[in-house]
Amino acid sequence: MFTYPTNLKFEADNGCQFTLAINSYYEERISTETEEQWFRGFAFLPLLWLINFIWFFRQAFKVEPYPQQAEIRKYVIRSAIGTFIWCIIIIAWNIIFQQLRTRLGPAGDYLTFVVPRGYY
Amino acid sequence: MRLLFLLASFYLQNVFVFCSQPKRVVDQMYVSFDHARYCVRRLNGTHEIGCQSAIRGNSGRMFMIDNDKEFNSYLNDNKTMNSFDAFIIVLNVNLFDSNHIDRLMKRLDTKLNGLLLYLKSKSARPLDFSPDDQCPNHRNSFYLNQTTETINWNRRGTGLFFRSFPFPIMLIEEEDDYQRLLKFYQQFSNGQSTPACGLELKTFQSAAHTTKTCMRRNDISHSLIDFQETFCDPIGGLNIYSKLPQSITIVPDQRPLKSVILILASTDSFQMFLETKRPTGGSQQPATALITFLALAHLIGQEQDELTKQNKEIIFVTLDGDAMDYSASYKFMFDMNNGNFPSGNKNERPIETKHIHSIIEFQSLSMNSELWLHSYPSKLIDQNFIDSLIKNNRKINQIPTGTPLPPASSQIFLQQTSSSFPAYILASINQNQILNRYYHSFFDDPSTLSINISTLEYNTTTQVSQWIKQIVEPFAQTLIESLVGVNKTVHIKQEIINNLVYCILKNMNCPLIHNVTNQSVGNTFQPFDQTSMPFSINTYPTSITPTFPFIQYVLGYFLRDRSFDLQNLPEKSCKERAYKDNFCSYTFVDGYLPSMNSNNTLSSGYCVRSYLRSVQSISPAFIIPNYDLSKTEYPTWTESRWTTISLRLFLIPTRTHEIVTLIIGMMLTSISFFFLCFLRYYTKVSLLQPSSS
Repeated sequence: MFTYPTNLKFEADNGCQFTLAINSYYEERISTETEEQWFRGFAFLPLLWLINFIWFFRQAFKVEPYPQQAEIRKYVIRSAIGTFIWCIIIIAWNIIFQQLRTRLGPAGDYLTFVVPRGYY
Repeated sequence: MRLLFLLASFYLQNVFVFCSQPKRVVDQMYVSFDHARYCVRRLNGTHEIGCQSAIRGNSGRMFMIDNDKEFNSYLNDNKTMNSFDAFIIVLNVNLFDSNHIDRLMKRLDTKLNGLLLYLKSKSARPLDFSPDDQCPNHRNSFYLNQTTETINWNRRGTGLFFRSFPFPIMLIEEEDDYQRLLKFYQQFSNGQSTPACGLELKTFQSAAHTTKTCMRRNDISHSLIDFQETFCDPIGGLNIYSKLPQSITIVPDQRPLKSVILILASTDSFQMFLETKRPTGGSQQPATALITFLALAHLIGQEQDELTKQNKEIIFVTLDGDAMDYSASYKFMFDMNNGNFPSGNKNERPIETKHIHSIIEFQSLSMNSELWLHSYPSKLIDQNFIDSLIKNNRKINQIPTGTPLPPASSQIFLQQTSSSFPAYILASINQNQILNRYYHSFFDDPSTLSINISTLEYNTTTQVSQWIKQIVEPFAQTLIESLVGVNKTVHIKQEIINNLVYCILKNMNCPLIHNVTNQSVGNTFQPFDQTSMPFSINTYPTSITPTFPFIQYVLGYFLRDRSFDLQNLPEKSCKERAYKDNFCSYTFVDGYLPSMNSNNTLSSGYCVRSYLRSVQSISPAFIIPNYDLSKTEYPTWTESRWTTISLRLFLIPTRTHEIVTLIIGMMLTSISFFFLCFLRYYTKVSLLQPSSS
C-alpha cells in the first residue's frame, strides 16, 4: 500500500499549521491507490474499504483542493458505503445466527465453531 | 530525605509482613460443604431429565423448611417472598415429593433458584423414598403395545428422577453438615435487620437438549482445534458372561437345540443424588441379587463334575445398564441376533435364540421371609422345575402364570425373541409391588439389610449372608435335579458368602479379589480401597468402576475348570497357555482357600483355566450406523459431563450495609486520588526518577 513520505508525516504529527507541499506526483499516486483499493475490496475484503476510507479521508476532504481530489473523494465515499453495507450484513447475520442457532438444528451446530457447553 | 524514605519503607514492609497471614478473602467469605450429593443431567432421544445450575452457580437467600406446617406458612408469607429476588430452599428430604415440589415451583416460579435437601440424621430417613417411576422402565417394556393392565410395581415412586428441573438440586446427608447449616441459619435469620444466609449451588452440566443433539455435538470437530470436547457419554458398562470351560462348542460341532440356560443379574442401579467415591446405594437392587448370583456360580462350579456329564450349558450373564430402559438387555439380544454371542472368537459356535432352553433372573432381592417366582410364557414353563424349587425352598411362592412380569431384564429377552423360551424371575416382588422401600435411591444401603457397615468384617456371618445361603443352596440343588436328574444335597461354605457380602457391600479391595487375580490386577483395586457398592449409572469406559473387573475375576474363578487346578502348571507355562488358547483365559493366582478342595496343598499359586467374555453394553442405538437417535426403538440414554460441583454458604448483608460499604469505597477512592494529586503537586522529589543529589 502506498504511504505518505516520512517528511510529510512528521510535519502532520507536529500539530502545527503547515501547508502540505504535495507535488502532483504524490497526488497522482494517491488517486490510483484509492481506486485500486476500492476494486480490491470486492474480494470480500470490507476491512480494506474501511482502511481506504480512513487512510485517505484527510486527502479527500481536509486538504486544499487539487485536481485529483474529486477522483479520490469518489472512491473514498464508495469505500465508506461498501463498509457500511458490509457492517449491516455482518451484524444482521450475527443476530440471526445467535437467535436461530438452536432452531437450525444440525445446520446450526455445524456452523458453530466453539459449541457452548450446557445450552441448547 | 532519602533516609526518611528508607525508614518509612522499612516500617511499612514490617507492618505488611506482620499483617499478611496466609488466608484468602474467599476463604473468609464462604463456608463450603464438601460432602453434598448432587443431581445431574441425563438425556434421551426426545427429552432431558435431571438438574443443573448456571455456569457460575445459582445463588439466593437461604430459606429452611422442615415440615409441612412450615412449608404451608412459607408459601403464604408474601412479605418474605417479596423481600428477595432469588431463593434457595433448604428442604427436609421427607418433603421431597412431586406434590411439594410442584407447589413450590408454582408459587416461587423464577424466584426458585435452587433446592437443597437435608437429612437430619441417619435415623430420620424417610419411611419410603424412590425417585423412580411408579412403573419402572415402562417406556421400553414387554407390555408396551399390549392391552395388559399396567401394574404400578413401585407405588412409592415419585418419578422425580425423570423430570427436568431448571435449577440445581443438592442433598446433604451428614449430620454434621446439617448442624452447621442450621447454626448459621438460626444465627442470621431474624428478619430484615440482620444479614441473611445465602447459598450457592454449582452443578453446571455440559450436555443439553437431547441425546441426538448432544451426540452430534460430540462428533463435531474442527481441524484448527486439537481438543475435541465431549458433552455427554452413552450410558452402559460391560455385559460379562462366563460358563464352565468344559462346555465350549467349537465350530464343526453342532450345539443341540434348547441346551443353553442363561442366568441373569444386573450390575447397575441409579440414584437421583450421587457423589463420586461415596457409596451409591443399591443393596437390595442389585447387590443382594448379585451376591446370590455369584454364590450360585460357585455352587455350579463346585458341582461341575455332575453338570459336565450332560450337554446343557449354564451361562452366567451380568447386564449393566438395565436400570435405564434395559439398554444392556437390548444390546445382549442385538449381539445374539447378529451372531455375536458369545463374542471374541469366530471359531466358537454362536448361540442363537433356538439354542436357549430357559432364562433365570435374579432381581431386587430384599431380605424378607418370602420370595416370589415370576414366570412366562405359561405354555412353555416347566412346572416340574418350579414345583421342585418350591419343594426345596419353602420361602419361594409361585406367582400365577398370566400375571404381568415385574420390571426385569427378561422382559426384553422375551420381547426380542417373541417369547420362544421360558423366563423365570426370582425376586422380592409380589403380585403387585416391589418390596424394596428405597427402590433406586441412595437410601437403599446396607442398613436396610440389617448390616452395620462400620462393624462388618471380612468374615462376619450376617443375617443376610445366612439368608442368601438358604436361597442359593436349594436353587442350585433344583437346577442340578432338573438338568442332570440327580438328587444331591449341595452346600456352599458360609465363609464364601460372608466374603462376597463384605467385598460388595463394604470394600471391593478385599482379600478375595487379591486371591483370585494375579498381583498386577489385584493392585489395580487399591485405588478403590474402601469403595463400596459402586452401583450407579455407568458410562464405561469414561468412568471407571471396580465392579467390572471384580465380577470378571470372581466369576471366572468360581466357574474355573477344577480338573485343571491339579495340573500344577508353573507361572511361565500358564502365560504360554494364555497366549496359545483363544477360547479360555488363564490366570496365575494365589488361590482362594474356601473355594479350593482341602486335599490340594498348593502353596505358591496355581494356574486357573476359565471362560470369560465381556462386551460393551451401550444401547444398539449407538452402534447401528446412521441410527436416528430420536427414534424410540432402542433406548438412547446419555449422561452429561460436568467439571465442578460445589455448595457454599455466605452472608447477604442488609441493604443499609451494602450502601454504606459502597459509599465508603467511593469516598476512599476519591480521597486517595485527591491526596495523590496533592502530593504530586507539592512534592519536589519524584520517587520514580533518580534524584540528582
